[in-house]
Amino acid sequence: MISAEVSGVGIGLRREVQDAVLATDRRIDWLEIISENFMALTGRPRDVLSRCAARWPIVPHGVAASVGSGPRDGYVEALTELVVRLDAPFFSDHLCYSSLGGHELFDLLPLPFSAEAAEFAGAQAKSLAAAVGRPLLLENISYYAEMPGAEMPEHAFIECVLDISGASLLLDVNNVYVNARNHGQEPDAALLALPLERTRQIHLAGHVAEGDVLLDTHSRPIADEVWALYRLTLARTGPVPTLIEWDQGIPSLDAILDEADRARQIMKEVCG
Amino acid sequence: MSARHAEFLATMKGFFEGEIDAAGVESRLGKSASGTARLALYGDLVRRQRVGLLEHFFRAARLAAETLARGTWTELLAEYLRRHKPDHWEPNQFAAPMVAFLEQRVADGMLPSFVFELADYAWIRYAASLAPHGDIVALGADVVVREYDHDVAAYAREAEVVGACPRDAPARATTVLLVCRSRVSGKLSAIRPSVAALLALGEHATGIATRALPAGISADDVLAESRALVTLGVLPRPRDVAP
Repeated sequence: MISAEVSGVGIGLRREVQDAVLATDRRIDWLEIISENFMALTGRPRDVLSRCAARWPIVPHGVAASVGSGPRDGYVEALTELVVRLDAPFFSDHLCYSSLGGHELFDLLPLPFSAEAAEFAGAQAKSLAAAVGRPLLLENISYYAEMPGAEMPEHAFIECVLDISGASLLLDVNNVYVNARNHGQEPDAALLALPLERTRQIHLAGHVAEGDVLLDTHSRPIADEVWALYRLTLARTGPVPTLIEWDQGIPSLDAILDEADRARQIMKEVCG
Repeated sequence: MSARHAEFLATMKGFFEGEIDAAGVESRLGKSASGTARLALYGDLVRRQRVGLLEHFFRAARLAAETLARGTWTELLAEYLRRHKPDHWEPNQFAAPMVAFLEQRVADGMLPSFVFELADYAWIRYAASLAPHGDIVALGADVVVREYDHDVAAYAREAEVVGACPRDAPARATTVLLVCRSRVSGKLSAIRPSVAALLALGEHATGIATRALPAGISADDVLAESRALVTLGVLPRPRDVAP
């Protein structure tokens, strides 16, 4: 099992490309998995994971920790087993809620940008990281509506949660762009307001326009404006492990790796 | 958790369960700076995720249902979503009760059997992909044998093609399928087993040789199928049974 520090540009190990990943000889620096697709599972998912973990560092990225509402029974134990089995250097999830009243929403829902919400989410995230025993990264989600009860801007809310939890930032650059456009902000300014010095990983993904809203669908190539924001990010953060996210309408592995190569080229141009 | 945060979560629970709308959320929590319409979008997005998950999992069943009458699948899903809420973080577990739901519809005379059969076929393939391999095959777990009234395997293969929109329902044809994850390749297989192969499977699972072979089938036939099943990755080793 590889337990190397994660660096360079990785891709998501989605079911549609698993066989191609194992067969390719193109460069892949690391892999990200959706934790819930591999937690407490046996059979083929476990086999594939073992074969990939023998070749690449793997980072578990969850969608159901729900730090904004608290995790489900049994979730933390199953996640811990996965993270330990992979000997992952860190794990990640989102600054959001994704379940309510024992039911999963299968979506990443925004919290109100309030001190109370930050206090709760920060405490949950801190507890989660302590239970798993590895550093936690929290991702900034896309939000299409500001929740009632907001007391502060998004960047201040994120910083507050990171302060309370001790977590680092998984900076989703596409989400920064989507949020800025959806809420009438300048993308560069929105990016620079974030606590970029706490970034430990970056996500790059595509989006679609639906009416007057940009939706973070992970279903398209990365937009030129997002590539530009990525350059600006790296100029501030230096080289940070970067992941190409493509979760719907997944193209060939080569198309995804072309995006990864572009990210790698930009990282080389900006960071040397 | 503060009372205010608890109120936020409780209000949003009511919103996602359809008890209140976006305006109702705002009446309880205050106005969203983004406007009511943007807030309402979340109800649609969450519903899309649940529907999308089921439609992706049961793609063939959906296409077959739509050959009956436009909107058949939509009505089935709407009823399923009313009755079932996702209660596990592994998204595919939300698909689990769907097979029994469709089977009941068939039993009630409300749905032709092929929709249920296609859903069942999708589920056993998923379950077989997760089942661990033991020293002895676990029938019903890592190796599943089913008899269907329709050629579900062929229809499911056609349905995998992106953009497929078959005009007809699956062909009626009694079909016995053996579904497993190959111990050799790790990939899912759906095999039409011969009678001798089924006997070989049963002998492996029980460790007991078949006492009375059907007419036209010899012990050597069963042994040959046993070896073939090993080559395919269905069985871990050839027959090793008590007489």
